[in-house]
Amino acid sequence: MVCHQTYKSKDGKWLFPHDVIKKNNKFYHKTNNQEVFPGRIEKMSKSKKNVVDPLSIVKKYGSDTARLFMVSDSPPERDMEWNISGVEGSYKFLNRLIRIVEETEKPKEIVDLDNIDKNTVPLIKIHQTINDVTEGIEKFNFNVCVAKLYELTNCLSRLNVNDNIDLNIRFFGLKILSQLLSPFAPHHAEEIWSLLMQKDLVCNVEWPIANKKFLDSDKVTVGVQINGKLRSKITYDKSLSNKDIESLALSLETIKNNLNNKNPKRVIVVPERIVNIVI
Amino acid sequence: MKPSENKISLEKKWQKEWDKNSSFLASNNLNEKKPKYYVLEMFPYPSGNIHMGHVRNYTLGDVVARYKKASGFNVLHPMGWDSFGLPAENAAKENNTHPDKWTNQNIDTMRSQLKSMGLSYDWSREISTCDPEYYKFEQKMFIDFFNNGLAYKKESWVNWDPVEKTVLANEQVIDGKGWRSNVPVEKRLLNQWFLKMTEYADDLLKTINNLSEWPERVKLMQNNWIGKSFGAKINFDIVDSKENIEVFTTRPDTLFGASFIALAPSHPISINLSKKDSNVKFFIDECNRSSTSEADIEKAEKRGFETELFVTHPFDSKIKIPVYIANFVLMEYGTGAIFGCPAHDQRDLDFAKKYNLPILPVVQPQKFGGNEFKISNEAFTADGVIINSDFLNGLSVDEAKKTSIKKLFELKKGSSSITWRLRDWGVSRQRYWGCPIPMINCSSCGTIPVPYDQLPITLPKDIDLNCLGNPLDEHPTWKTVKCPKCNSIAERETDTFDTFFESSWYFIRFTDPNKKTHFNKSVADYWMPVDQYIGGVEHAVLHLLYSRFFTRALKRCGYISFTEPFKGLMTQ
Repeated sequence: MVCHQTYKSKDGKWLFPHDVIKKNNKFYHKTNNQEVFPGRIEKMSKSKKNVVDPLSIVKKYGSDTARLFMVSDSPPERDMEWNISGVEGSYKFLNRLIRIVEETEKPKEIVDLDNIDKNTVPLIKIHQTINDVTEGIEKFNFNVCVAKLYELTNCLSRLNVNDNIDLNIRFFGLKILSQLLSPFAPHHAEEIWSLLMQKDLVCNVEWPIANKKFLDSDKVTVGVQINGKLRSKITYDKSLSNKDIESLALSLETIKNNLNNKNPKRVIVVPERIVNIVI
Repeated sequence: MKPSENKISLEKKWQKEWDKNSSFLASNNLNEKKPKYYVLEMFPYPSGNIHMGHVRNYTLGDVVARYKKASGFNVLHPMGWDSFGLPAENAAKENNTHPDKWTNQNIDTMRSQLKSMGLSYDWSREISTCDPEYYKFEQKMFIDFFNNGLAYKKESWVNWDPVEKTVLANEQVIDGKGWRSNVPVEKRLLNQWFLKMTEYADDLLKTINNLSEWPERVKLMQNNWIGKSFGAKINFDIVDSKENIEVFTTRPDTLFGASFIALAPSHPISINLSKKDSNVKFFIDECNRSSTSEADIEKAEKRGFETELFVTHPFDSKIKIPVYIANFVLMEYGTGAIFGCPAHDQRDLDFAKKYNLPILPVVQPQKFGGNEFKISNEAFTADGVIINSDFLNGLSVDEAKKTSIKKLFELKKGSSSITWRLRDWGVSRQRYWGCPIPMINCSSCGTIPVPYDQLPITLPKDIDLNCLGNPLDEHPTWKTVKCPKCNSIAERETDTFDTFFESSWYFIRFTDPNKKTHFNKSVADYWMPVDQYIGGVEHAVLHLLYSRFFTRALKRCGYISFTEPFKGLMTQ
């Protein structure tokens, strides 16, 4: 079910969300400026007026934004809450993706990416994402798929377009991203596909298959937490000892800044899973 | 250009490309090398505009459809309209237009709304169930059901909506009121068409286990809805009479705890009593003003009328038990009569307290250490040891059930029995905007199906929706026909089908919607079952159960070779 916050006026009448504005954590009626009161988040229903017209969203942000937001919030069998900041998040993501593609020219010198070292982090990320999104769709975990697509986008955006190998990986990664995005935001997927000067329509292209070589890496990426909160990530060789992983984590700039010269009470290293620093 | 205009033109551009390339056409070539994959979202009622629930549902389906296409499947992903139903009739009355016009305008609006979302539908397969090209097939199906003993007519109690002037299904009665009119429903006796769902009760129940890709909660709901219970039928002899009352119980072990008999208000004995006693009649009339929905009956205050009748206990003729008429007993379930054992059933306990009836515990907890086991405000429904029950004393509940049934059988007072909660499906509706039931009533030949070559029986366009009663019945000429057998003047059936009829087989029509002449079995067998069905959990019982019944009935009539309609189910 699709749910939304409910609002009531002072005299207990239900109000449409589009008639409500938020100022300093309080809610007011758009036209008469009287304070209104937020109620429970409930299934969208005409009687409670907590409805949002999907067409107004499509008109303002496009249907890909609506579609992407629809699946990014929670798994399909669970209720989801429609909120405009989430919609804007999806909208910004799609725009950013187009910008990243526009900044990526087709490499003049082609590199055979299959022959590159299997520990190349962005390639691992690309192939891991193919696997994760495929599995996510099969299991109806569409929200996980979207999260993985966001991660891959971030990873690719950091690759240097002036370095030939990086550019090759970035270009290849965006092609894959276009394919993996096509079930969720099909129009943008086609746009990216054509910006990357690919033939045919992406909807007709065969689903990508991960190259196993890059799934069997010597390296692993794990999160680094401080008191249970994710602060950074490290990538390290699987052969590294716990002691070395610990010092690697503590040497990270973001972690140093967060620690602020304090000595951690304890550092827990779960190999290939997580590093948690307790202060 | 503003960003939003940018987005819309970007999306339009690709929608045109997909259209131009016929990107999402499914191939009906049965020698297709690609494996087939049929993904379907529950089709909408054309209410006027798409809402957020639609958007979510269709987005989910589109992810699956596009992914499967890319993964090398021959994908069938169709869309259509469940376009018969009350709202069209109501809107037509309000706006002084025709339901047909209102419906088709809504379909046009919603189609363009869906198209703006870029969903990967094969639009060449679009269907609308109010189209005679669609419903002519279901008229033929109904006739075939009739000829195969799966459709029959009977008088039955129905929920009558006094404002809508129509029969409501139990599910359309919410808190004792009509789902649209919001006024209390009444009960009426009407001659109705039924589909014999109960014939498949056992099969529908057993095969739930095979639905490995269905959510557990949906399977549980279907299980409960079909509701198989094991028990006994027991005859209680009426004192000073040759008649007896047959009772169904799931607890023959508690027979010594019986403190009253309760009859349904529409039980023949109740009706007989009402003819002699105006107080009985008054009570029954009052019961008839409430809903027949089980949920409502469960919630309603338990009320009874004490008759002058007594019955004797089947195991001990010295025990006399009073007979009540009670509003919570259903004629349609079991035998329409129960025996009340207040100590071990909460409803019976509430009733006994209200009418000061004895409460005798006959089962006590296994490890009861006290002197005397007593029941106060809560019935004891768990397993335990039988007490106060003569030859059953000391047995467990299960042992006592068997022993009790054996004894009843020896005494010729009863036998073991199975009862189902599932009932046959009443498909008659006294409405205009539905599929006409293709039957003819002839005063000399009886009820006769319309000959195949006269199908479809279409709705008349000139109709007065503001008349009271059933518009088809009130139409000056439509119902008058010649009997196909004796050629004398006869009358058409003027009821139309419950709109769940259309949605019980539309998924098969999508497999070959452009074949106008006949039903193509091999194509249906190729595409079916639906590999992934997606829709709201509110359809977990009725629509899904009706569809499961339909595929079984159609298989029996030779239309198809498969049994289950939906392999995978995703409910949101």
